[in-house]
Amino acid sequence: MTRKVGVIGVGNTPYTSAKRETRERSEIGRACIKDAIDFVGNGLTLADIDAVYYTTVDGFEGTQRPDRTMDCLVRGSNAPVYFVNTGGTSGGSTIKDAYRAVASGLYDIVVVYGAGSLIATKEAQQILNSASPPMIESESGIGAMHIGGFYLNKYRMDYGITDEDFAAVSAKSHKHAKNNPNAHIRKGYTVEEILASPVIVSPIRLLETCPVSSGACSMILCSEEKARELSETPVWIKAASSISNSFTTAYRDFSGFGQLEVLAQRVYEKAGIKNPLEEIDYAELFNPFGGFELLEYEALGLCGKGEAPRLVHEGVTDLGGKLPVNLSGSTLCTNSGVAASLTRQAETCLQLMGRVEGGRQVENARLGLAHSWGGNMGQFDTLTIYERD
Amino acid sequence: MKKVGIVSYGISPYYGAEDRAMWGDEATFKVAKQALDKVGLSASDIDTVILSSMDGIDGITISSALMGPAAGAFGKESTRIENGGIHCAISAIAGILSGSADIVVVASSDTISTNLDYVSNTTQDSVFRAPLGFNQAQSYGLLATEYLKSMNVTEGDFAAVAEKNYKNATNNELAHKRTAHSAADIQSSEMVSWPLTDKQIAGHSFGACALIFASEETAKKLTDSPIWVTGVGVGANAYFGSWEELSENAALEKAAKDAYKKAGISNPKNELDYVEISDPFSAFELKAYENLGLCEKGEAAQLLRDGTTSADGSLPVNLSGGALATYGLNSAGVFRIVQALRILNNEMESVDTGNAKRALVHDSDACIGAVGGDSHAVMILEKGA
Repeated sequence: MTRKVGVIGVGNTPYTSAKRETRERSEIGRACIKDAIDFVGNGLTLADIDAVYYTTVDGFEGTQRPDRTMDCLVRGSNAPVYFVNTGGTSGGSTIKDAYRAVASGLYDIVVVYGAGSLIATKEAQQILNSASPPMIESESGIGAMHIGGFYLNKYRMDYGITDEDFAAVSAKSHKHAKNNPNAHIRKGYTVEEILASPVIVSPIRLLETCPVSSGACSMILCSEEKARELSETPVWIKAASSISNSFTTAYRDFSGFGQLEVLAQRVYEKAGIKNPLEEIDYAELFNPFGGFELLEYEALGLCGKGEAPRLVHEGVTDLGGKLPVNLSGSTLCTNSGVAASLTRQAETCLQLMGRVEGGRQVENARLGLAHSWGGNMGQFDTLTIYERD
Repeated sequence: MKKVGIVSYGISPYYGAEDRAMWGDEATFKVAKQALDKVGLSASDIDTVILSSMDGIDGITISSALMGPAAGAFGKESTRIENGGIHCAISAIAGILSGSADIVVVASSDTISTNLDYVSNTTQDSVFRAPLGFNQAQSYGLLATEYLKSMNVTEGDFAAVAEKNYKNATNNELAHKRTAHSAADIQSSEMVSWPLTDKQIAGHSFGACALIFASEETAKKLTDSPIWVTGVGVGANAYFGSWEELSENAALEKAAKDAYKKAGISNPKNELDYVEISDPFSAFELKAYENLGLCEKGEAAQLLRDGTTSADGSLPVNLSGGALATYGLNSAGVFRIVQALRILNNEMESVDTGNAKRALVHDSDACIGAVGGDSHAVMILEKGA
């Protein structure tokens, strides 16, 4: 009944600062879709697309329902457009939805894209503040970064994690973003430079915080039959799921990403993964704040509680290690609104396809994992497992 | 298409802005719980929750983070789609048919009063239409004007279709506006966007509703009277599409064609027993008769005039009162599906449709504008084993 679904194309535009962006969002939307179509080649054209899955957070674009004016694909074809918005996890949620539409037989070839320009938004924090619970969090200006700080401070207190540990995992992202032509922040900041940067929300420092980027990302998903016809390197989606937390935060004790842990178990079971550290070859984890990557290792069962820094210091999750993570620099170095969660999916697929530039390619990567985290209070996580033949 | 069942629904009677007394999560919780209770399910049985809403209508960013847990999503999968209720239902169906989920809740609520003219204006492009103050009401007026030229209809027909719908709403205890209006009253109400008067443009209604979808196997276990989804179709109109494409609503034609193909319908007028159309303005319903293939081009008014689509006609349309009577800007699509379920289950007192077995439901996001960028979805529902 269920069909296999393959990713056959990935498209990106260069990413830059939202303040320096000179392109309009339809422009980068069209550009990233064209890039994905060209990536596939083999005679694929826009006319072959059965449906479009678009994602953003309305407020980030300074409008409502920006999908309606994007006008990238439907002219002449009236192809269906689905606009998925679940905050920071939107990219992961959209992949999940598009995957199911193809797996169920509803559509054969679909495009998923996010074109986060953030150019029409003067101050994203005010918009995000409206996503905070109104009685306490919104009134006191608590947003995603404070929530991130709560988790990381609790982690520091419980396990004696040091500033150097947080800086080390952040430096790993910066080091690799330097070699990623699509990354926004490509300065290659070192542990020393990170530790010298000011604390924004304890314990998160400036260079451990994601920027506001502009750029677009797209992926082409299709049925197995089409994938075999159109691509030599299709990447199959083995599992795609999400989990939701409560809206308010008061009851949480902030010790680790418990919901992600539950989700990981569900997704591993579906994909038949028993020992993630041994079996998974590459992972892209959502790290808007550098230290998140450590908490995610633990929730994903890559190590025991409090042991994540060891994985970084021993190079287990660096290029050449057992399970390289975030060789794109991830969200910490490029955060184009919700396209950042789609980029996690795209970068994982590129690794499995063997198409990564800048000396960051992991040799013979077969099984990949992509994660996203979102909602202003971290209400959502998504996980996708990808596999190549 | 392999069929998927709708096993239950929950709904609150709809009301006006002055009677609002609940937050979105409260309203969502009540209808989701009502739907679960009816078939003996609890939140722990849910695999996935899908919310139908727009941030701009809810007045907050990422509003699904608030509504999701209220619909039973805590510790479960959830997502939110902004194009409308049938789009969400299609996501539910895809989840079930792909084997990813077995029981899916689709929920939606309208509890925040908003300046729709303003929200609609922000959805327009920033160079051409937004600076002109363009909004949903103007888009409706433009389309209605075009219909007067091209559709063999009169302003009297527009008023008559509204009269039919208001009359139908008097029998629907869940409808927001339940007062009958004569065509003359409708035509002489305040002019809003020529040729459409105030009573010919849907307002904003408040309330909530939820649906539970299940695989065929599970649906049969949960209820003796599941309603099956046998066809779906979606189309979108390009924002800068040609005038012909936009005024003809090519998106709805595509949506209907795809849904009929899946459901194996070749003559919709004869094979459908009931139709529920999301009609943000009176004239839209007449154009939709053409778009849905219920009549030839130019014959829509005839269907209305000869009573085919009235309550006692052979193909009743909008016995619920349609959008003119009840229009939740987030929840219109889910509301329309619930109304069709009630007709198929013979749950509406004082409404007799004989033995309606097969219904068509339409939904769109035209509440924020209808000349480009609007997305239309069609779903075919069937009663039976």
